[in-house]
Amino acid sequence: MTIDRDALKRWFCREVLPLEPVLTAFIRRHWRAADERVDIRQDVYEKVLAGAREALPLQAGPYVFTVARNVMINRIRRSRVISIETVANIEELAPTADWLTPHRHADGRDQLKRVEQGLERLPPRCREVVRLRKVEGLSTRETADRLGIGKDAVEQQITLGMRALTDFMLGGKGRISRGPARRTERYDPEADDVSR
Amino acid sequence: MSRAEPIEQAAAEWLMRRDEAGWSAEDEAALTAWLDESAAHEAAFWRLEFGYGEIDRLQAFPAMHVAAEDAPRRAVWPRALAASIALLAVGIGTAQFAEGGAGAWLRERWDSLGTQPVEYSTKGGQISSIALIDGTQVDLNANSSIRVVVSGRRRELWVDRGEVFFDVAKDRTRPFVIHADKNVVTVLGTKFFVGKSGDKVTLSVVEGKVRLDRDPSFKAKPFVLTRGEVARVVGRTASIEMADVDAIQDGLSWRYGMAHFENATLADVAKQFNRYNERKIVVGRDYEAMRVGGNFRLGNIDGFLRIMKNEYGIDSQASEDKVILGNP
Repeated sequence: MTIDRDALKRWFCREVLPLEPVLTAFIRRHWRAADERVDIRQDVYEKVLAGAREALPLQAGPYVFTVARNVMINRIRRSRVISIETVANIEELAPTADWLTPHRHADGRDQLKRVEQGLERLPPRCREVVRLRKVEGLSTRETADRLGIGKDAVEQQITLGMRALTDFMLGGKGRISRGPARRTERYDPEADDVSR
Repeated sequence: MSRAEPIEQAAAEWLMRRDEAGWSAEDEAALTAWLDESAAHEAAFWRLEFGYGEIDRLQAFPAMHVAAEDAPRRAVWPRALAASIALLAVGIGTAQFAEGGAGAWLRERWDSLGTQPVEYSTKGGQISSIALIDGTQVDLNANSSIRVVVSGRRRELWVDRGEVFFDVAKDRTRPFVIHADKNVVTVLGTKFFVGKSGDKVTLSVVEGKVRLDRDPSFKAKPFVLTRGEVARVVGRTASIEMADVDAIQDGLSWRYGMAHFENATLADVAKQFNRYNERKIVVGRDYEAMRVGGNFRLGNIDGFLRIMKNEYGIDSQASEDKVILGNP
């Protein structure tokens, strides 16, 4: 018998999401290609949920980081561009004790401050749309009218804004992403130097 | 090509659409189907839903930023919250049910309830569980008093005094609205607790979401509380803290006739027992400040005295009208 969806969701939000800052740092430390890190993190979440569906792990931390390690190792194995150095680094992935640091969601007031900070980081137009729609509680139509833009534009800004805000709340930088980031760094043994 | 990007974008769009008016049952089914497709969809959706939930917090009242002292991280409920007698009162219609047909009775109640609030109250030593006509369950602790209006069009309740636990039946067409002092709690979810003592109001959420609107003269924005959150309002000041849901539920053990104490003074424990019993407990001066903990049946004084003797080594002298704990 598997866990029901509500219980799984509660577990995920309560036990796994607070680990995101540490998980992100973990992935960043061990995976050079910056544009792939978000994919890796989502992969980790997907496999965490698939596994937890059978039975909730007693401790989320060790479980999540074991999955993360395995996801990265499997990616390396499937990738055709491998450097011996990268592989060696991955295989050395010691299970980090980072998860032992209590990472409960911050208390109400801290979280509030964090949401406000997150909002501040949004580009002005996006911030205004989110503020009118979500904080002031205007409808999409009213927001569009107020700002003199189309309903579609409002919807686009909301999705971008909420994604950036969620990133920030979960310990990230909270920057808007409009699609796959440009390749920034990857170690390619075929090349003479590291391409940027 | 990033795999996560389109999934995250899709999840964001789902969340945004769900927020719009006109979200239908078909939409809900389509969302469930999309979530069913893959754990990756679930992860992306729940993650962003968390973000959405966070921004709901921004509908906060200004007073929150000047809340007096730092609220403790863990909500501790030293109050005794139970009595040994649980009265199950199913509305005031229980007696009337026998008369006339059930259908006629229901119809009559439905129509008449729309106008006059019906009052329910409990005395000391009494807890009461009430089933409202819409399927909502309301549990009253001792010395509590509420007024309720449930009609085809609205569901409204006033907590006049005491402590009440709610398990609200979902009905989007009729939000459940609760008044406590000048605050208004609008229920968007299911299980939560409201306590009122004078102008002190406590709201804690076990499951679901509730919206809290303060005294309108404060011109504060409404605030949405979710599972595990406790709001304490005293006049102008309000604070929110995260509590362990288990701790909140411990504080609700009165619903089952038990009281839960965690590091409470013996004086406080005795005070709670005395709310529910004719036989009063008097605590010897030297023992008043002593800290005890555990689960007790408040109707069972003898059991309590036995525990005091066995676990804490405190003797007692019982007479007909009182019990002296420790040296007199």
